[in-house]
Amino acid sequence: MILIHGGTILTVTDGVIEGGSVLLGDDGKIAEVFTSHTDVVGATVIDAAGKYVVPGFVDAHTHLGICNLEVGEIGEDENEMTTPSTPACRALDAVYVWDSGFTDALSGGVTTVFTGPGSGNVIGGQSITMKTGGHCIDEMVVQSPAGLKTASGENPKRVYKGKNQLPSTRMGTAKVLREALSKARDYRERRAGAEPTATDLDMEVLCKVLEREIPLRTHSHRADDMMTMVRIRDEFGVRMVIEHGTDSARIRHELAKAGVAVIAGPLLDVSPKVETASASFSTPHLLHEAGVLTAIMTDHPVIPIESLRLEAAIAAYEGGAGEQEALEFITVNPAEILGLVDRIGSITKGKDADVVVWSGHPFKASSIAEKTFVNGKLAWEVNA
Amino acid sequence: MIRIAARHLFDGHRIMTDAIVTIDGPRVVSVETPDRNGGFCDYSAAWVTPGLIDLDSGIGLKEESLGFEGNDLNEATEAVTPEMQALDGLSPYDTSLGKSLMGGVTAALVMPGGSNVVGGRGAVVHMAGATADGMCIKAPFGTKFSLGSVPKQTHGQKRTPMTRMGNAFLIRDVLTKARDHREKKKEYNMKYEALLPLLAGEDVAFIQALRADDIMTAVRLAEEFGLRYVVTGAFDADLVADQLKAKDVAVAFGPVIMSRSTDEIRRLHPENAVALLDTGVRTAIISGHPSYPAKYLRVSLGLLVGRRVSPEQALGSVTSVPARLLGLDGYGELQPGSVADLAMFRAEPWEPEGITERTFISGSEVYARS
Repeated sequence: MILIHGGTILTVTDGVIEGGSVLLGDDGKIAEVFTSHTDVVGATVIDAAGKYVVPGFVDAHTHLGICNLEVGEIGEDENEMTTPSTPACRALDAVYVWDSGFTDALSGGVTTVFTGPGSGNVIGGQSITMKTGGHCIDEMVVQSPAGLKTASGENPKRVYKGKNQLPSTRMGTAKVLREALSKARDYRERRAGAEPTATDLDMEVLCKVLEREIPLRTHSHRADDMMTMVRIRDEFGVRMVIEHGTDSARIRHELAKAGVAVIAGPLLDVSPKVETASASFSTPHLLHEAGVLTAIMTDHPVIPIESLRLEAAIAAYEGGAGEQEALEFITVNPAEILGLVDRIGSITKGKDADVVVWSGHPFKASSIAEKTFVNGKLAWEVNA
Repeated sequence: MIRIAARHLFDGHRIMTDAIVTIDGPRVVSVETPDRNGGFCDYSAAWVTPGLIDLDSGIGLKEESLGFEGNDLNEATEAVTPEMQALDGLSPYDTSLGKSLMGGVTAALVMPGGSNVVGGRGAVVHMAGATADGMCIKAPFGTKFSLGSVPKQTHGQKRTPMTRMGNAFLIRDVLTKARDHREKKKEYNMKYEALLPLLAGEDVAFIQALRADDIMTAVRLAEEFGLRYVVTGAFDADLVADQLKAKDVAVAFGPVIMSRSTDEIRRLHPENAVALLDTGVRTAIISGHPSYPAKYLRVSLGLLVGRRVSPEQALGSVTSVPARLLGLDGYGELQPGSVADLAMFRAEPWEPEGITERTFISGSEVYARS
C-alpha cells in the first residue's frame, strides 16, 4: 500500500481536498480517500505537502506507440492506405510500447490513452484503450477494440484522389462507409441464418459496430462532415463519437440534440488545413455549455502527449472553460466517452489507482509531474 | 502620452515591481518605480514586458489553414537559393500574425525554411501592417542555411545534396565562388551578389543545425569564411556547449514544444534546453512557427522556468537576446528611448494563465482582449 500524504487533492468529482491523504491499495485500486491527514499502518508514505495530487489524465484520441517518435517513416504504422476500408486492422498489433512517447505520457501525467489508426482511410481500423505504464501491450490494454476509426473530410479524399481511386470526394467517402455498414448488415443476417457463411474479418468488426458493442470514432473537422457522419450513424443505429470537431461550435446545439460526444483538438498547433481554420481554444467550452459531452485531445504526435495539460490550461483561461471544467475535459469526460468512468478519471475510492503528484497546479506550465502511479504502482518519477 | 502601471515589469534584463512605463508616440520616454502613488495611468497590468521577438519563424511565408496556396516557405527547385527574399513571399494576411499579437509577440525574423542548403534572405518584421513593406523593420536581413537531414531528404533523389558531406560542400562551394566573384567581378550573378553582405560581415548567417555534429559543421563553415552567425534549432547544443561557449557562438533554440518525430529531434527535451541555458551560451528561444504556434511562445518558456531557469533569463531569451542578435537597437527592452513595442499580461507571461491583455507596436495598440 502507498499512502500519499498532504498537498492539494484535485479529486475532480468530489471537489478539492486540502491536506488529505490518498491510499493506493495493493490491488491497484484507490483504497481510500481521507479528507484529513490520516496515517495507515504498513503503508509506504509519499510526502506531498505543498504539492498537487491529481488523477491521471486521459487522452481519448492519440496515435501513441502506433506512430513512433524519433525514427520517422519506419515507425509510422497508423495508416494502412492500400485500400480505403480496413476495419480488420488492429492497433493492438502495431503499438510499440517501448516508444519514448509512453515515457512522455507518464511525465505529463497522462495514464490512460485511446490510441489507434489515423485518418488516411475512410475506415482505418480498430483502436484500443490502454494504460501508459508497463512493458507488455497485452497487460497494458484496457479495451480492445475500443472503437472503429472512420474518417471524413480532406484526408481520405486526398489520399485516394492521389491514387486515382474512390473516394476522391466527400460523397465518395460517405459511400464507402455506408456501403461497408450495409454489407455488414447483410452479412449479419446471413451469419444468423441456416447457411453458414465464410468468416470475413472486416465484416465481423462492423457487426460489433452494428450491435453497438463499439462506437464509430469519426474524424471530422468541418461542420458538414460531422452532420454527414451523424446522418450515417442514424441510418444504421450505431454509436458514434466525433473526433477533432474543429468547426463544431457552430453546430453545437445540433450535436447536443443528437447526443454525440466530441473529442476536441488538437489545439496547440498552427491550423494546417482549410478544414481546420476555425480551430479555437474556446470550442470545448462552447460545446460543454451547449450540453455536449466534451474532451480535449493531443492527437499525439501532432501535439506531444505531455502537453495535454497545457491545452486544457489554455482552454481554461483563454477559452473560458475555467479550471474545473477544463480539468474535466482531460479526466472524467474522456473517461465517460470511453465507457470507463467507473474505473478512471477521478480520485475516488474504488477507481484505478492512477494518481499523479505534481509540483504545483498542473495548469501551470512551470509545474512538473514528480511521481506518476499507474494501477497503484510507481510508473515514473522525475529525474529517477 | 500613455502611462501604464505594471505590478511586475520586465525591462529586458530585470524584473521591477510597481513600475510605470510612459510612452510618447512610438517611443518609451520613462520607466519609473515611484515610492508612492505614481498618479494617473491609462492602463494597469499584472505584467508588462517588451514585445516578444521570435528569432526564427516562417510566419507569413507559410500561411495558416492553407495548403499549396499559402505555402511559400521553400523554393526547393534547387538546393542553393541565396537570392530568394522572404519579404517577397510574406503575406500580411496570414491569420497567425494577428494570433501572435494575442500572445504578445510583436516582431520576428522571418526566414525561408530549411529545405534548401542555402534558403535565402530573411526579413525582420513587425507582426502587424497592411503590407509586407509596412510590417518591415529591416530587410533583407539574415541569410538562411540548413544542415542535416532536411536538405538531404528534399533534394537527394534528384541532385546534390544526398549526404551531410554534400550539404557542407554546397555551402563551401557557393561561398568560395561568391568570394571569387567579389574579387574578380565578371558578369552579374544574382546568387553571389546575394552573399556579398554576409561575406563583408554586414549580414548574419542563420544556420539551421539540430544534431551536435551538424552544429559543429556550422561552426567550421562559418569560421572558414569568417561569418557572423547564429545556430538555429540546435536541439543538441548542450552536448557541445563548451565549444560554443569558448567561441561565443549564439544559439536560437527551439521550438521547445514539438514531437520528437525524427532521429535529429531525438534529444528535444526541456531538460536539455535548461542544460544549455545553464552553460551561459547566448541563447534565444524560438517558436519555429509553424512547427509550434508563435502565439504560445510565452507558454513554452514555462517549461524552462519550472526547471530552474530564472524568469529573467527566460523572458530575456525572447526579448533582449534576440534583439541584440538581430542588431535591433531599441528593441527587446523597455528603457527611455526604446521603441514602444510591449505587451501586458494578466499573470506571469510564461504561464497559461498569463493571457495577453493588450499589445502595442511603436506606441500604437494593435491588440486588446475583448
